[in-house]
Amino acid sequence: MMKNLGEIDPVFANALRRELIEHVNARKRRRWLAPWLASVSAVVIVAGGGVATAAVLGLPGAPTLMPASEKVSVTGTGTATAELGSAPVDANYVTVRFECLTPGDFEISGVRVSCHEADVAQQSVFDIPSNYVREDQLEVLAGPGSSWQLTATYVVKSPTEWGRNIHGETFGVINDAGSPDLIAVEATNGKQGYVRAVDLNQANGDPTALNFTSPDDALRWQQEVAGTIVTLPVVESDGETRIGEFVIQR
Amino acid sequence: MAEWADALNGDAAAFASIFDRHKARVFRHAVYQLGHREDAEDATAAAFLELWRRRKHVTVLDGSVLPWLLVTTTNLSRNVGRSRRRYGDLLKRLPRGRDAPDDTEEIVQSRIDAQRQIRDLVPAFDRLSEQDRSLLVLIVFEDLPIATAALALGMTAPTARSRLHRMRARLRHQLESSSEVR
Repeated sequence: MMKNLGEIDPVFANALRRELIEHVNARKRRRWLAPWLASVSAVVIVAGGGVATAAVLGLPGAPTLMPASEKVSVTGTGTATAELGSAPVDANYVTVRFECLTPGDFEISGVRVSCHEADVAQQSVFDIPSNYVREDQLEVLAGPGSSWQLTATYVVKSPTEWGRNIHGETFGVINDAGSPDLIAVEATNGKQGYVRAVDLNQANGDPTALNFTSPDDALRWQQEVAGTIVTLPVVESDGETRIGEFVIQR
Repeated sequence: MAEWADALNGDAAAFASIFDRHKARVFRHAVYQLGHREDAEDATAAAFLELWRRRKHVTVLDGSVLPWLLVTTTNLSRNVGRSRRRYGDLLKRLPRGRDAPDDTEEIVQSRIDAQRQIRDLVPAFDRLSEQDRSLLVLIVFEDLPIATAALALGMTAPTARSRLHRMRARLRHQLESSSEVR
């Protein structure tokens, strides 16, 4: 292939162009992937979409986590970025412990955390896939007066298998393989149990469960249900024995 | 201007068309700075990635982000290592066309021919401050009007003029003393 003098290599330029489009879209996609996380307030321990909380560790399907870098702690007010340092080669996730110091809406590299008065100083823990972490930075979006604190560590996350009950239903935590039939939650009475994925997806506004076809649908849905409360039954891993309730604030 | 506003709102197509419009000029600018095709490709990529990463802080002049891109390219070209550290994985992933002729010298030569005095300036050029270098590059190499170049660098036109004046004096002095040493 001949090139004209001083012209950028078209193969390189086209690939770069695609990469730039990907960069711009990455922001939108993260928002699109995150809508149902938006409803997860700081005190609820649902795991999903590659996002797991400390409370689910040890449950079927929960990954094992090995720290791969020094912990980085950042405190901020308003929008800011946290520099993580360069990613260790084998690290595939960044574990983030996020704490809102004032009420407000926060978004940490695509994961949204809504804090009400009661959630202040409660910790949200989630893992962000390291390929979502651009340029070794976590971006925290927050209102000008909203304060927060986070610690982040690169980790090596390895998957484990879900359990299977006598009815053939899978149970455990949502992980990169998808969602089990019964999803681990903590009931309002503090007991560890499971909610049905079907129920949870409906209640959380999962795009597929509600047949959303665009981010606009998801946003509209969020506005419609904002402020409503849904109560779901919590069962044991057999899928039958009811042990409590799971409440979702939307 | 509307395109940049659209890009800021997450319109990927708008951002892509900004890339389409300015890529050739940014690349040539990088080749000129670096004298090497592959380094220049990396610097070009880094400049556009920086345009997105630092989008909230980009100066738009006369509706164009080109002056900002050129200044950024100049700075990135000064430290290709830094951009490689930041964007290393991405740069490695981007495919390069095979059989790329090494026309770098021709490119550089053609520009040197057009701006003959630049070759003489280069040894002293490295001793200038980053801002002065950027100013000189934008005005001499990129033919931007002084007022535009000044704005791109966050200074007023009179400041830019007096800087240029001082630079000329200093460069002349440095060139004279370096030829004395020889």
